[in-house]
Amino acid sequence: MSSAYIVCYTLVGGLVLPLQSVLFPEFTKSISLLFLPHGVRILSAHYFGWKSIPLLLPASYFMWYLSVYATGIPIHPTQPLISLLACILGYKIALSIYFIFERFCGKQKWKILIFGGVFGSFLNGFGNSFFYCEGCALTFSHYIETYMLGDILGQLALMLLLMYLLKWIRLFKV
Amino acid sequence: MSTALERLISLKILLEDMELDLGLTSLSSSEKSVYLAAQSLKSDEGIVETKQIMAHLFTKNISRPTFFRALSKIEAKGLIRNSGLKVMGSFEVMDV
Repeated sequence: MSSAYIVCYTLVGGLVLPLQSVLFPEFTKSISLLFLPHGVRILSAHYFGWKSIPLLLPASYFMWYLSVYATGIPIHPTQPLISLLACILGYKIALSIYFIFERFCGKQKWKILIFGGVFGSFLNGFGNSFFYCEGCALTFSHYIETYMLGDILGQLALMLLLMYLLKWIRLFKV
Repeated sequence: MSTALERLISLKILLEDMELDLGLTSLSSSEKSVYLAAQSLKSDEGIVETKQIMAHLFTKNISRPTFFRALSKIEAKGLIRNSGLKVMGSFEVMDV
């Protein structure tokens, strides 16, 4: 899981953020519009629950250190921990209201993961915007929306990537 | 079974469910292998023979019953059709 997190974060830093700064130069560099590691955090929350915190925390702080000190992106020191907690709580919320989704979505776990990702990204945006702008009400909703957009798009992209990877493996497997 | 393997299998099922729900799959693994083999072997006129497909890397490890079942299914789905050159064993490969 740590390796997957580092690979996804590296993809974001090496490909998504440079593309984002070319296509949307006015957009903040501290938030990615396609944050793939959110999908890793949600998958980790699904498979490991609270254990995903010790599993992902070292990789999260390693990437935080690189982002802050090597790339110069301003990220609050509590962000990695808040994001992990937010994803687990978001997934738990989705699970706890599973019976509501079941009526509309059936029993497919991937949809629960998507809903968990949405709740997780809301909590992530909420927690981080509070710390980042120190309670500033004017930018509060803006940060939540931006975090949610990047996290949800990133999770969807990661799941689609995994799905196509699986299809590709099947193609060459007899 | 180890829990790591169980989690991997569970992830595979989850992604296959997603693929199915999104309508991104319509062929089974063996059907895909047979169709892709036929696509890669077809002549300029789009013709391929059964024995050629059977010898392809993608299909050579598929058992004969599974191979012929897959062949008739992709024929039923309109992905290949009898070429008319022979009574049996020669197909025209259609593009998706």
